[in-house]
This record gives sequence, structure tokens and C-alpha cells, in this order.
Amino acid sequence: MSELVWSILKALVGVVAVILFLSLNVLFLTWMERKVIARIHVRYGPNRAGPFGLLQPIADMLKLLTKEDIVPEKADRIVFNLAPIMAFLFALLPAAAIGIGSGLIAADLPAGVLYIAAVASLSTIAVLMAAWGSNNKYSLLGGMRTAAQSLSYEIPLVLSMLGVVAIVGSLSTQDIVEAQSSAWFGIIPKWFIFYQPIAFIVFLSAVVAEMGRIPFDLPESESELVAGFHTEYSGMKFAMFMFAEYIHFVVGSALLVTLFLGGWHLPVVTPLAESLGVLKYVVQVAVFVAKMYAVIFLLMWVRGTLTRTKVNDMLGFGWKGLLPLALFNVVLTGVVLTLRGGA
Amino acid sequence: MLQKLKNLSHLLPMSVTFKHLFKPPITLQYPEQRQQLKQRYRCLQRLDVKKCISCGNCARACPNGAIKMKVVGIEEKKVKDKVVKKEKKHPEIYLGRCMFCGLCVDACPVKALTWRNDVLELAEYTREELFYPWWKLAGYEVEPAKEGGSGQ
Amino acid sequence: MDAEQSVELEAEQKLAEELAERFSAEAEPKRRHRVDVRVDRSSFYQLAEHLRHAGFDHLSCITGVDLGEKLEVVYHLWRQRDRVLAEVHVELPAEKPEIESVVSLWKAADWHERETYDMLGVVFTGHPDLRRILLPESFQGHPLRKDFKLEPQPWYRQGRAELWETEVRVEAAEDGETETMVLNIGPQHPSTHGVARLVTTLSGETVLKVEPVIGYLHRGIEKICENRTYPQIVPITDRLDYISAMANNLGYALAVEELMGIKVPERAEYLRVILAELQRIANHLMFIAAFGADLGAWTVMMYGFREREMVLDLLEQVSGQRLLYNYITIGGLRQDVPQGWEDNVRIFLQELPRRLKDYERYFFNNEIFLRRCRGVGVLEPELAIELGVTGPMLRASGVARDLRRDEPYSVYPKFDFEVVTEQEGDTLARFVIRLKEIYESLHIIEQALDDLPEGEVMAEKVPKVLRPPKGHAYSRIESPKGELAFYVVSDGSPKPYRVRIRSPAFCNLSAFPHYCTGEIIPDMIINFASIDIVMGEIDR
Repeated sequence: MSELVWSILKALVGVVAVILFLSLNVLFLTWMERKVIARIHVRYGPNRAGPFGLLQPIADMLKLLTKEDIVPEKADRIVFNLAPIMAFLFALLPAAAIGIGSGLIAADLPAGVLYIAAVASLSTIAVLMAAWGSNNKYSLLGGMRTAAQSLSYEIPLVLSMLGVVAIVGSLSTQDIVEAQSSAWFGIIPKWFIFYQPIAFIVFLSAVVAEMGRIPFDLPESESELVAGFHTEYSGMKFAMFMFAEYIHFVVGSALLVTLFLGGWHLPVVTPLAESLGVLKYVVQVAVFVAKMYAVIFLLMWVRGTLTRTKVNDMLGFGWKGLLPLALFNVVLTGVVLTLRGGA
Repeated sequence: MLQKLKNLSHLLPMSVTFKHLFKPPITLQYPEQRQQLKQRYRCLQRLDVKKCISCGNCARACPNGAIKMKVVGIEEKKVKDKVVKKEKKHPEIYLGRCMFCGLCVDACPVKALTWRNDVLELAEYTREELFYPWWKLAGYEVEPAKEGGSGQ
Repeated sequence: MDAEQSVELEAEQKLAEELAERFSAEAEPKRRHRVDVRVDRSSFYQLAEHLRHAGFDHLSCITGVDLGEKLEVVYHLWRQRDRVLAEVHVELPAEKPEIESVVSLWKAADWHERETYDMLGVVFTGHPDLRRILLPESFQGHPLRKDFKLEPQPWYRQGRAELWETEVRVEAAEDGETETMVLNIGPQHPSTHGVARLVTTLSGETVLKVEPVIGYLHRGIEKICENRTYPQIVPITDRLDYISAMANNLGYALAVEELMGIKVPERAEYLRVILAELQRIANHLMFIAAFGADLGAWTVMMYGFREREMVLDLLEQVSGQRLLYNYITIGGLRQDVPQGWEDNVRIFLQELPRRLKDYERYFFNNEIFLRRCRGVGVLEPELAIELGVTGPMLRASGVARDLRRDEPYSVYPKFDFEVVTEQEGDTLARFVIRLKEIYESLHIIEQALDDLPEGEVMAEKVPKVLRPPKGHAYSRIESPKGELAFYVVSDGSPKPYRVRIRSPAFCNLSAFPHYCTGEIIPDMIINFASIDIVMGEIDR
């Protein structure tokens, strides 16, 4: 009996921890994005709400909570109201299998990567629900585009993960990170970005497309379709969509760090921290978060620089560019591994 | 320079934006910092009552009819052994119609109407407050007490 | 006319004689580049056909003037090879103002005729689709007629706002088409550069037909101008193309100066050229900023505005306002430039090319941008000329026409500059050409600053109350967007009888539906952005 209670408690703690971690990061990200983009634009960004504008996310939350909730007359009510909840839910699901420290994971599934690949595609349903339920031509167009984009980039995403899985021999994210723990000469880390550079590039492009960020900004291309699939949403429902988008951002970056950048391992630091007892978890989380924010900064910098692609260019890039590259990478990995004597 | 159309290097645009990350922001933090208005900036007119000769040129020059002349007194002048009663008029401007074109200032023959270049915030909460009577244009806070003829 | 002038006016004289002989029209060469022709209604169409086949391929403007018992329609036609503008006047009886439409000869006449019908009630027989263009369909009356009463429309009194509708013709789906959707890229939209409405018929994401609906910013400027004195109209012309206000002032001032025969002093002419070119730079920077914003690169928008601030600063020092200057006036400039302004301009001339290098590095290494713009919205040169397109849009299609060189005004003949053209005629070409024009403008400003003479900036003997003699004048300038022209008719009183404004964006926009079908929506939006329109000048 206590076995069951203990495991339920552990699961609950894991869920709460994941939601807390994600929420804190998302709140911080809204601030960071606006600041980074503003600095690229040679202007200030938020600097009125609190020191350096750090309380800006709180102000945004308050504003969105107090806004009027408008539902269009001819909208399909059930679908319209469910869509933001589903978006939020589906965005949270992949985070269960990503760990930020050794053992600091909500659900250490032996088939972690498979699980992530499976639930990552569910968020498209929520987008289509929003687009259809709004009864608005702009939303419909936006929703169609999003569905096309998500579908096209799912496949290269999953294929690029295959190479890593083949090297490690396991689908569990903890094992993948552990496999990147050693270093050449003790300093140069053996991260998979060095072993699988092609897969890294494919994964980076695909994950940016999955997140719906510039240059694959089509879902919410402001200047073309007003606001894409969430044109008709206001108030808290809109906040849910924004939240979901930023959660995708965090989860995508975390996945990138886990698979290719060594997770919480840093060549000199983590071996040293092994001897610190509980503090070692703090160090691991700090390393992980630092790497994640490096990736996030890179993606924000890209957002500030590049322009939006056209629909056919985007689809062409996914199917004719990334997919062959990912396939080639899988074949190459297989050949190299076989020649080296099997996994 | 423009033959670089053939160059496909993606990193150069990134370097441009990266460079700008470290430049100081060009925003003026209003209301703590305000923009320095140039000397000729056209914002609000100033009336010099001593110079005004009541000719009404400003009212006629305005394309929008924003200026009306208000009679503020009667002046007596000696013209060739006759005492002539002349009305003393000053312009009053309704800023809601003014387009700050400057034709009134140009039309004034004695340069009684000029531009102030220190005021930028002219917005008010009601339309009535946008109406500037002659004494407000002249810089008075309240209407001066009426005398036989206003200011010599 | 003395001997020198009669040699200069050879081409005009020849044309006048030819027309007078064949069509019993009264034709006389008015000045260099102008031939006035008066013709009867009955022989008008043959005259028009003859002119079209004689090389007059550019229809500049169609104007209607209400002369009381008669309605006069004026056509301005341009022949590039000998640089002659034929001004054809046709008088129609006021009870039955009908005339043959010239749409089959010049496609550009389409929107001009609709506007003349809208404003004055002239019926153009043979026009494919004669409806109101600036005013809604249910409007009653023709505003620019002299007997038009300014009172509320009947529907207004009845309180029935739904009658304020614009009729939009949408084709039903053809046989074999699965489904078409009509999408209203409506007046409120982040990327329609003002209040333009594009009614698009889509099949999936492909555009089958686009109809621009304009008139949301119609303020009746032409009617206002009939009730204001000549100097009072100058600030009103500012509000036409509010992004490049100096050009509007200049065009209007040139028209009135031609009417009155005022000669502007040298210093004022040079300064006018400098200001016009500075305005061109500001306008093109704004275009780059807005273009970037439409593409999703808001960074470019911020940078573009930052550079534009530098120019607006200079213009503020000179005139006192950042956007609507009212500085170039009839007879010269309102006041001389302040001390030290020329040095500031020189500093700016050094600074801007450095900043433009950043733009080039940003845009021309960005493959996504290049793929997005290359090959989109190709406009063939012949089609462009027929549709009345002018300005950078025309030059991007390879046609080298520039009013600063073809029909020079002010002191442009003294400067050495290139007429920049691009060959492809697509969106990228329209973008690149504006970037190149900025460099040309910088070059012109430098030459003008070097030769700037001393002296007065206002012509002498300009009376306080301007009463031009009876007559008319048509002045055309190369505004940053294309050919901006003012047709001013004077009847001797202090207020003009008719002011007609030929705006470049109006004609460029009328060409838009003809070459953008078959594209997808993002391409159409980029295409629309590359025309560089400002609704203030289209709707007036």
C-alpha cells in the first residue's frame, strides 16, 4: 500500500515540479524576449514595471486576466472554448520525459524519446480546433498553414533524433544525457553535436518550425493574417495560447540541450560537483538552465534578424531539404556504427 | 556593393543585428526626458499684445477658420483733428481646428503673433479647453480685469 | 515668340499644325513641352486614336471642369520621343455630358474616368465598368459641380447606415472550379499602408481576382481647394501624400508660378532641389521600413525609422515641422534656411552611406528575403506604360522615364544624375531601385550644396493677395512615388476655379489588379507593399 502511495506522491511531486519549472521559465522568457528584441532594435524594452521591467510579466498576466472574454456569435462554442485548454495541455505533455538533472525527471520512461515524438504532434489538434471554432476566414487560413507546417516538420524532427538514439542504444532521455558525460582530454565535451552535426542542424531547423517562430512564423504572421489562428481570442484564452507557445519554446530548447548539448554535463564542473552531495543537483540544474538559455538567446537573435518564409518555400524546405538530409544522416549513422562493430 | 546579390552567406544579417545589440538605445524616455524642440518649431502661438494692431490679417490668412478676432476694448485715437473710435481686437485661436501651418504668423505685419518653441503638450481632456482666448495666448493665466482700453 | 523660342518649340508647332489640319481642332503650342488642343466632341475620338497611334502612349490625367453651362473634360497625353504633352480640351453640354471612353486606347483611363464620373457626372460611353470610385454607390449628387449643395445625404437623415455600401462586383465561381472564397483584406489591417481595402477572390491560397476599393480617406480636398485662396492651399497640399509633403508643395507652387509668370530666385531653386531630394530619401527609407515590416522583419522597420529621423531632423530645422512642412510656397520659400543648416546636411551626407551599408549587408545576404521577392509580381514594361504607371515602379520594369530629366523643372538641368533602372520588374527590382535612388539623391544634394548661390529666397513682387490671370496650368514633378501633377484653373479671382491633383499612387494602384492574379496571398501582400502607396494621395 505504501508502495502505491509513495509512487503516487512521487508522481505528483514530479508533475508539480515540472509545471512550476516551466511556468517560471515562461514568465521569465516573456520578459527576456521583449528585452532582447528591443535591444536589437536599439530601444529599451520594458523598463517601467519594476526594476528593469522585471515585473512586466506580472503586469501582462493581470491585464489578460481582467480583459473581457469575447466569443464570436457564430463560433462553435465547445470547440472554441476547449481549444486553448487543449493547447496548454498538449504543450505540457512532452515535458514529462525531459530531465533537468540526474534523476530530476517527472517520468523516466524507458521509451522517453518515443513518447516525446508521439505527443509533440498533438498540439496541432488544438490549433485546428481554434482555427475552425473561430468561424473566421483568417483563422482558418492560419490554422491550415499551421497544420501543414507542423506535419511537414514532424518527420525530419523525429528522424534526426534517430541518429542519437542509435548511438546511445536507449530511448530514455536520462541515458542519452549520461552518454554525453565524458570528455576528450577532460575538457572538450563529447556532446552529440560533434558526433551528429547534420542531425543537429536538421533538429534545430525543425524545432524552430514546430515552435512557430520566425523564420517559420506562418501560424501567426501578423502582417498577413492579422493574428492567424488566434485572431478571435481575447483575455485569458489568448493568454493560454501565448503560454502554450512559450512552453513549446522552453520544451523545444530543453530537448535540444538534452539530445545534442550534453544535458546537465559540463566537462570540468560536473565531475567536481559529484562530491558535493545534494548541491550536485543544484549545479546540474544550473548547467542545464544555462545551456537552455544560450539556445533560447540564439533563437531570439534569429527572430530579430530573419524574415518570414513563404508558404511554399517553407514546405519545400521541409520536404525537399530537411527530410533527405535527415534520412542521409540516419543511413550514415547506421553505416558508421556497423563499421565500428555494432552498438 | 549591390552585386552582393549572389552571396548566400546567412550569417552576415545576424552580425548586423548582433552589432546593434550593443548600441545604446535611441529612445527618449518620456516624460523624464523630453525632445529638444528646434528653434523654428511650430507648436503654439504667442501673442504680444503691445504690438498687435488689430488688423485681422491672421484671421483672414487661416485656411481653416481657427482664428477669430475678439473685441477687447475701444480705443480713441486722434487722426487729423478728429477723434476716431477704433475697436481693439485680439485673435483667439481654437486649437482643435488649427493645423499649425504658420500662415497666421507669416501674415502678421508687426510680428505680434509668433511661435513658442517650448510647449509640446497641448492635449486636453475636453474640446472647450482647446480654445485659447487672447489672454492665454499672451501668456496670462487668467483674464486681466477689463479697463477702458487694453494695454498700450 | 523670338527666334530662339521658335526653334525650341519646333516639335510642338509641328504637332499643333498637324492636329489643326486633320481634325479641325484649335491647337497652339503654349510653351516648351505643352500643346493646347481644343476639339469638338464629334471629332474627339478620332483625334484620340490618332494621338495614340502617333506615339502618345502615356495618359497622364483626365480632368473634369464644371464651366456652368458646359462641362469640360481635359486629357493630358505624353509622347516620350520628342517630349511633348498634348492637353486636349473637349466641351460637353451640361444637360447631357457624354463622351466616348478611351479605355480601349489607354488602359490607364479606367480609374480616371470613373473618378470623373463620380465627381462630375460625366458619362463615358463604352467604359466596361462605370461606377463610383471614391464615394459609395448610394451617394447622390456629383460633388465637384458648382451647384452641388453641401447637405446630409437622404440615407443619413433616415438613419439607415446600411445604405452606405460600396458595391463590389465579385465573379461567381466558374464551371469546374471547386470553391472560391472571397476574403476582404479590409480597411483595418496591419499591412495595408493606410485604409485600403482589397477584395480578393481566392481559391485556396491562390488569388484569382483582386479589386482594390478606395475612398476611405476621401476628404474632398479638390473641393476644399476651390474655397481657399492660393497661399492657403499650400498647407492643404501637404496632407495629400503626407510621407513626402515637400514634393506636393513643390508641385502646386510650380503650377501657380506658371499661371502667374513668377520667376523664382536662384537660391530658392537650389534649396528647393535639396529639399525635394531630402524628401525623396526620407520617403524611400520609409518604404524600406514598411517593406521590412510586411515581411516580418521588424528590426528593419526600427532601423529605417532611425535613419528617417535624421532627415526629419534636418527638415524640422528648416521649416519647423517634421511631417507637414508648408515651407515651399508660391514664389520661393517662406524663409531662408537657418545658419549652420548646410553643415548639418553635409554631416548627414557623410553619415547615411555608412548606415546604408548595414542595410545592404542585411538584405542582400538574406536568402529567405531574396527568395521571397524574386520573381514575384513581374510587371512587363509595355503593360506598365499602358496602365499609366510612373516613378520607381516603372523604372524597375526597365523603362527609363524620369520627369527630372524628361521635362525638367526647377534647376535640375544643371545637375548630373543617372536615371536608375532595373530590368526584371519584380518586387526585388522595385526594392533595389529605391535603394539605388537614395544614392543618386545624395549625389544631387552634394552637387546642389556645392553650387548654392547667395541671394533672396522669395520672388519680388509677389502680391499679398494672389490673383492669377485667367487660364490654366499643368505642372508635373517627379515625386518620390512617381509623377505628381497639378492642374490649376484660374478665373482671375483670389480662389482657384478648379484644382485637380494627379497622384502617382492612384495610377500605380489601378495597375495592381492587372498583374497580380495567380499569386498566393503572401506574394500579393509583398506585391502590394512594393507599390509604395499612401492613401492620403489616392483618396484625396
